[in-house]
Amino acid sequence: MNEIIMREDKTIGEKCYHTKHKSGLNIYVIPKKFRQSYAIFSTKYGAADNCFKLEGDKDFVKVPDGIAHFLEHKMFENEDGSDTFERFAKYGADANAFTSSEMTGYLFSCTGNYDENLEILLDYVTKPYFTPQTVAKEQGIIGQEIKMGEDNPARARYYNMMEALYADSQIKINVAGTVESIAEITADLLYSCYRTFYNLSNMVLVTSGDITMEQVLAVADKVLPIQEEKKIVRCYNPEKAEVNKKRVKVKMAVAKPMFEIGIKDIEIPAEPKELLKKSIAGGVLYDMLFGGTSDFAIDVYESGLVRGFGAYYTIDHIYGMGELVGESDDPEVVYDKFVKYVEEKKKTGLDRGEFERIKKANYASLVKSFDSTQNIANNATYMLLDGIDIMDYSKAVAEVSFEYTEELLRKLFDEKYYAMSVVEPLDK
Amino acid sequence: MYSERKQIAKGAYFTNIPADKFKSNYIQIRFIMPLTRDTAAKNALVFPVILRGTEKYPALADMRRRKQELYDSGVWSGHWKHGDNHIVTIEASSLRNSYAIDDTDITAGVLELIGQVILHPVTENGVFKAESVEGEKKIAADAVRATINQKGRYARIRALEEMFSDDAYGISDGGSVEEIEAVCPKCLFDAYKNMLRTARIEIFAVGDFDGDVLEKKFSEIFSSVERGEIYEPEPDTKGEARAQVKKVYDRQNVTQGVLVLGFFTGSAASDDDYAVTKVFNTVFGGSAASKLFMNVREKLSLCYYCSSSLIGEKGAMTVASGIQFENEQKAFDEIMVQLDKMKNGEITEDEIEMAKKSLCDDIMGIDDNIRALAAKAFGEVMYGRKLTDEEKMAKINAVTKEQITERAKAVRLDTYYFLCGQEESK
Repeated sequence: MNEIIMREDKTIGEKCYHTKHKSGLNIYVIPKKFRQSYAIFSTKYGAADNCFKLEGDKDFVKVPDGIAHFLEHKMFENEDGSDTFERFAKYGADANAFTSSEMTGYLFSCTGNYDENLEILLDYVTKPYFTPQTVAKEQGIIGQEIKMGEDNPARARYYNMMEALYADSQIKINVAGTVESIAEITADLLYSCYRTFYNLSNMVLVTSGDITMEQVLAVADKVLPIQEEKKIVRCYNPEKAEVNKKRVKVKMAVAKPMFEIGIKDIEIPAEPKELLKKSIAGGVLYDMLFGGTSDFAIDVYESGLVRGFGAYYTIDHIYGMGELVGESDDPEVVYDKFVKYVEEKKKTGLDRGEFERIKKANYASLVKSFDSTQNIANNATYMLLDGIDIMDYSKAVAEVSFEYTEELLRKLFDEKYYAMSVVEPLDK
Repeated sequence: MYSERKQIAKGAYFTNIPADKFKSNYIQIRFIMPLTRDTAAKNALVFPVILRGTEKYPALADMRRRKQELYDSGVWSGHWKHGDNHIVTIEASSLRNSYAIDDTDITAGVLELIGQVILHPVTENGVFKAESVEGEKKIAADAVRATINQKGRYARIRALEEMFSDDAYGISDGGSVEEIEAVCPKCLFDAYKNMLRTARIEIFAVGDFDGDVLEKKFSEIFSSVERGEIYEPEPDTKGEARAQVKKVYDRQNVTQGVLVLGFFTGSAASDDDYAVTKVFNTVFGGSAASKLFMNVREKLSLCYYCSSSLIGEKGAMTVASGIQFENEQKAFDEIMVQLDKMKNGEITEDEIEMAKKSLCDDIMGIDDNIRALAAKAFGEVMYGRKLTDEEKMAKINAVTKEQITERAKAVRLDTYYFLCGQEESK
């Protein structure tokens, strides 16, 4: 009854089976002869989704910051008083969950009793149970999680950079919220978010291990309710191309200044194929400009200007940005060096030989990521949220052209897109 | 399952671990030496300095470019401690040759790089280049200073430093800032020579390697160095709790306190019944279904995390939790209440079953992780005992509630550490 489609990437020797279950849930199985099986059941709902309605509703609902993450915590409690961690532990599984700006994922890994564990996963995530008492209890636990975050300079540096880059976008909302914002959360609000975003048509199950689609479907048939598809309308604030603030600085108990240079990019291709192309080319470009073999990285390492230097480019269906991070006695010197270096590169252009080497490295890291069922399923999930099939990835890497990458170099870098966040030591 | 461990030079051994399921290959070379205040910083700095340049790849850019040509193979160095031993590694992770999309021989390239790093560092007047030494010293010293950036990790390091203040295990595996700053090019070069001459060397290769080729290559490398009196490591050195608990308060500008408790369990990894300690720890605070998680976090909402972990080589256990300053006593009391419950046998069959399942799952899971396979092989060498996964699980499953209770009774608090705010009055 459910049509199962197999897709294959012959270069890396992997297959993926997909079907849309009658419940409305999309299911992906990536078989792997490993002992450890892994499953992640996700909803396309994260901290950025704070304003939404269902198609046909008159008004948008606005919810407090941190509610998606709060909801994730509360899913672990069940109406019969059982604890979800214990339910998994009885079958030897290691269970967890996480929330990001764009998604919430519930997961487990196990080396035995896969069917039982999958059943628990599908069961508890489809059965919400919230009461005023359990909400109050969680405010204490998450309050401590937030405080732990406040003492984490890398996190402060990141959110300050997001604040510097974005004026209005919800992408800058702190995933955990604040002690004040989570105080506004009620059981009713949680139910409202749950009913909107935990509709199976807004969710995806990706699983990898020594398992078959038939096996997964048997569990899904048993547990999942048949749901009518709901159309969610999300209200994302428009965002200007230029940065919000050039600098954000705070003082914390750190050893030396920690910096994060942000490079804003609001050009998000609507087509998944184009998005994938841009994401790969952007990654290759950043590796060419700032990766281990780049003049920039070698210079700041050998001169001792930066410790722990790293540079990354991220783009998905909501937002895009580049970041350069590290620790330096003088972040402004690093910033100036970065600006000059990129201007120079824009003039001289990129090197073809280097481009090919870095594409090979990019391919190698994809192949290696298939050495863990957890990496496989997580990466496949992240791509699916952007409408991308992981079986198309290595081909897309091979197809990215030098010309397109060089064009990105000229488009992505301009001073009006740059901002810097610095965490300074207290005594400075 | 393992091929034999073979001696390839005096005090140097090679173990090839064939594993079919991975797309990558992994090599780990462990240099095992005593952990001493005098040598820790130097030993840890040797390979980072050499990774800046060898005879064939003299500049950092040459080294890095070569790795990139080899499909971005990682070749790096690490250092940590195992009991009173200092372990310095060279590790390499690379794509299997069969996944190369051209005719690159990745494995051969990686082996050549490793040979360069061990035998052919760039030198200047017969010692390491001063510039490279100074550069790596700065990075290492900054890394030590930066431990304060991560409060949870910092608190645990500080607590262990205090707990083992009279013991080799209290020595930092990267050295202190002062020890790092005192390193000179000549003394570092001497440390390098000494390492090659006296360290016990254990090499592990996991993947689809041709074991004979690797054995030959490593024999060539290590038979070309002069080997003297080789260090013989002890796997365990059990610590004992102080007569009076050592209390330490560190003050910083933090918004959350971190409580770390150091215990001695009276049981170390080489003990035949160490499985009991493992089950005890998992029931107590080693999982999300444990007593500490269910009570300190879920029942009392005091924290986001509260967990225990074992240090097998020292017969020790730590408990850590991030809490509000004013909840210090409350959290401590609850942790001790849970320990008392373990001592009084207030442990359910369910708790024991869950802990055993979790530990068995860990044992089974090692097979899927290329680096964990190397670590497991090292454990077998260190403890001179090679059990199958089934035998290990049988040991876990044979543990009884009475044994767990007895073990709990032997647990002694040794160190009480609290990282708190500047204003806390205590």
